[in-house]
Amino acid sequence: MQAVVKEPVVRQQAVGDLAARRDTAGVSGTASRTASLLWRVWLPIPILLLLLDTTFGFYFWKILKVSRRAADYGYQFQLDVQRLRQPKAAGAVRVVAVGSSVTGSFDAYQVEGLLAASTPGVQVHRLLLPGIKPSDTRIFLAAEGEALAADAIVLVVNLVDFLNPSFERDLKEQVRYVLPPWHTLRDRGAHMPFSGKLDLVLAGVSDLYRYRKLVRSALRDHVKLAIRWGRTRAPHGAYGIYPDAYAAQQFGLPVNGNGAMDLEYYVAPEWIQQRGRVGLRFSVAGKLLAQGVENTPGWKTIRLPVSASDHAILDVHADGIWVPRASDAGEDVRPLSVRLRQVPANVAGGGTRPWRYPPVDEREVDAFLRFGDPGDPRFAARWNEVLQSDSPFAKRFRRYRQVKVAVRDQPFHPAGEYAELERLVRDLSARGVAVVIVNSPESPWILNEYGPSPYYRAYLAFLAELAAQYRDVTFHDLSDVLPAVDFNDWHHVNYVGAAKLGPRYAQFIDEALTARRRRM
Amino acid sequence: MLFNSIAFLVFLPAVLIVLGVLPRRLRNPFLLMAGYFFYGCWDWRFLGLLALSTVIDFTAGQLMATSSEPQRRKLVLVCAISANLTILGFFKYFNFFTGSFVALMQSLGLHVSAPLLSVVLPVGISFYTFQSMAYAIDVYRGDARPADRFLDYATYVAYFPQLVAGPIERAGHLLPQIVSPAKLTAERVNIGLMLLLLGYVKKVLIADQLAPEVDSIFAGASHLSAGVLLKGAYLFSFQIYCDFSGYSDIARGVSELLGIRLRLNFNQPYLSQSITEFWRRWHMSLSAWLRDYLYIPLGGNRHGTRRTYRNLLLTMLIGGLWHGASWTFVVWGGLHGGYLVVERMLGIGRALSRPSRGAGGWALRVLRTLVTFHLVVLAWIFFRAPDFASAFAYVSGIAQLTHLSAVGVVPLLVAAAILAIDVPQNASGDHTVFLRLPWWVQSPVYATACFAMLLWGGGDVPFIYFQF
Repeated sequence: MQAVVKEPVVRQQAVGDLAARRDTAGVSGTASRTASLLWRVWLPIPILLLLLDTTFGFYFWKILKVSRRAADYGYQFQLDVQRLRQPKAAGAVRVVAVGSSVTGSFDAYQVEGLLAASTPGVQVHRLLLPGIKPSDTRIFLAAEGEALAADAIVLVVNLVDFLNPSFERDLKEQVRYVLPPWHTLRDRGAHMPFSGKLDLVLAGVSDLYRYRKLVRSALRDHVKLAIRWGRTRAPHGAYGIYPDAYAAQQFGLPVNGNGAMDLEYYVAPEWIQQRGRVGLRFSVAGKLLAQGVENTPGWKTIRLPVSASDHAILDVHADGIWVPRASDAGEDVRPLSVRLRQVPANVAGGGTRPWRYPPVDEREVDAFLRFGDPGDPRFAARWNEVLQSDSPFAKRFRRYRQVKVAVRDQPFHPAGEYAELERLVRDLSARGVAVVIVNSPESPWILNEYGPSPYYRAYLAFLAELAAQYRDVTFHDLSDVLPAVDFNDWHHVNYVGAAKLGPRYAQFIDEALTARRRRM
Repeated sequence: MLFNSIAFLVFLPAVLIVLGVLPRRLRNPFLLMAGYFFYGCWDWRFLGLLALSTVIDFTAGQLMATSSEPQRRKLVLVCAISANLTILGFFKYFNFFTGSFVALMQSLGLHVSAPLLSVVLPVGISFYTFQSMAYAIDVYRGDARPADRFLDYATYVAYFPQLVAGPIERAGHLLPQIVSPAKLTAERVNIGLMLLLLGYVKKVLIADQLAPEVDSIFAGASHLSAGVLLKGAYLFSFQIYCDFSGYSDIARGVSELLGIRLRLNFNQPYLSQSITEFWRRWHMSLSAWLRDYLYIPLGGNRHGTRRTYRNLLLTMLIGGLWHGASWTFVVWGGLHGGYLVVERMLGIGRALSRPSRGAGGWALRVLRTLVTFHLVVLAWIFFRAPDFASAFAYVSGIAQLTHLSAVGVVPLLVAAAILAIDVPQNASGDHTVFLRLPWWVQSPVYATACFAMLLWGGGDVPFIYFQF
């Protein structure tokens, strides 16, 4: 250390001269450091940043989001909002479902298809943001409601959305920059620390600051994909990459290049029951390997002739999709109409995992994705076993249960988020928007524990009374309509449950729109 | 208030603007207020502690200055040091020593109980206590003139750029600049902005980005392969360097904009060819403090080889303890003390004074640098681990040498980024060497860095050394 080896000590003078100070500071002045250099070097920086900031709206939303929907919910939410800001066509009827993760049970594609016959020109959209509460939704719609031009708003709610007594102070990270900053500041500013207010002010004046995480996400994904494209030169997909290995219309697996590739895929019975068919196309580097239509459910196998030189990606395209929600980014493991996997023997070793494979144990994924017969009683036992474990999945689910079960002994006060929901509904109703409030399904495994409680009954009564108070507002309780096997956990339905809910949602919206049309 | 918080981005320009328009006589009162506001943003309750330290050492300085009687001067100094160490000891070390005593008694079969205090550690207490205490010692020794005005001295102690994490300044260097700061020139602004940019790049773009991975590796160390553990150790070494030297750069940059030049605190330590050299380059203000106020008073190297070794070890052990009330820090200091002793035994310091030339000499220098770096990395494991058991498990996990390929390229990429800053600085001896590049190179590079910081910043990740 300096102290140890340099002796004797040279003690500092009371007033050191500037040259000595320069030596100790590790900087030396040069003649080139003039005022003109100061302007030429540093001044362009704020100008450039200001330029990027003021023009943000013109370029950023045009950048392709190449990650899957669930990879960044905030980004996806904002993109969906930007699309909804486009003026709707004359005669079009716009329906928007807004809400937290439980809104994942709302399949906009499915509902739109079901409504098309009764409501020509209907456009159904979903704005999903995990963690968003009625108070947040109110702020969001107060600012964006006009631009969205919705004829009907579907509010999918759950008991958990209301159980935060200090919501004014808690602006969740995933919601913070999604909500319009100035509105949020006006609404919640009084309850925020100074740094929080400052943050929102900055977000209000600078889009680059407000959307910095989105820009970061886009930059990271595009750089990653460009590098991958540089390596593989695969011409298909966005830079040769697919949004999700499992849950998207187009998805891919790395090809082993061993002459043949064995695949298994699962065609969901509910999908076939509802839609009748699903078309599949398998190709590598644009070369079609196989295609066909599946109209029976269950496990299928296929052997694809992959040449040894095909160190690329197997491109699988399904012509029907279902993009459900996920509980967290990186854990979107819900399948769609078809679920694909390599035959386990080929996957063994871990090195050939599909891209973006959820970072969880495969056995857990299997348990949640219900490999095997959904009606098999062993499934429930297996599921229960997984949920009792120490995995992140299980811990989160136990937390949901604890939160819900805790209401049993509490008195019901329609304040806080309840009051916020009322304000939201009142505002929407006053604007002439039809509002459909849906209490999302609960797993009977735990609904039995708190469903009969006075609190839960009062909660349902509150929602029903709310609907009765305002014009064009309806309430539907779906809390007990699905069996436990239709849930991914104790809170979110899986694709099977969601597919069953589609017709109900369509019916509710149809009734609301019909009533609104009659009145108008 | 953190340098990397939005609040600071408002605070700093506000301070600079107000200082720009204030008459000179109001400069220090305002700087003092700014310092107290800056510190109070963290926890206003500890402002009293800062004020108490200030009053104690200022009073001691005045008493020593007005007395020519050596005994009296010594008594005043002892009182001042005792008061400082009592405050530091109470807030930082009470629970540590009490807990250690109880554990020792229990290991001897004696069941004793002692009260443990629920006290929050005041941020930066070690830094400002050492700085304030050094003033009293310097005045006693005649190395510094006592401050004429309490206001100037209070401003010196509460000077916000270096208040909570150094550099630990000496009265002889900083106080005169507080009394009469230099005029703000274009050159100073250039230097200040350059240092600020470098500091933020190190902190926001390197240290903060490494933090999550380092945390996760050290948290799950018992289940990880040697390759991953090695990666975690490398990344932590880079993280702590960029975090702390980044802080020092920002502090120096801010201070430069205030017309005050702070001392150098880091001088490319990972380019050192020996541990001795490492300590000439790492946290230089602390090592100088330990040298002047501990090692030399202990006798330094003036009383034979064995006493020198003892002094080295003792200084480094106390230096380790200064970092935190934990035996892992003591071991970290002890390891460095041991390295220094061994180097002294082997005469490595003397060997380095003979420059080696040619390709062989270059290779030897690289080899020495790598060896030194790895010795430092080994010690960092003890610094970062939460306890002994974890540290030993970590080291023994690395010793298994399994899956070494898991180290990956990330540490190399980070090292390359650090070298891109450090090597030109080291070669030129100038930390603002980048200002010599053509403006049309500088401007786009700095703009890109600012853009990246805007995107990747905002996490308000605290500086590691704030806890000390």
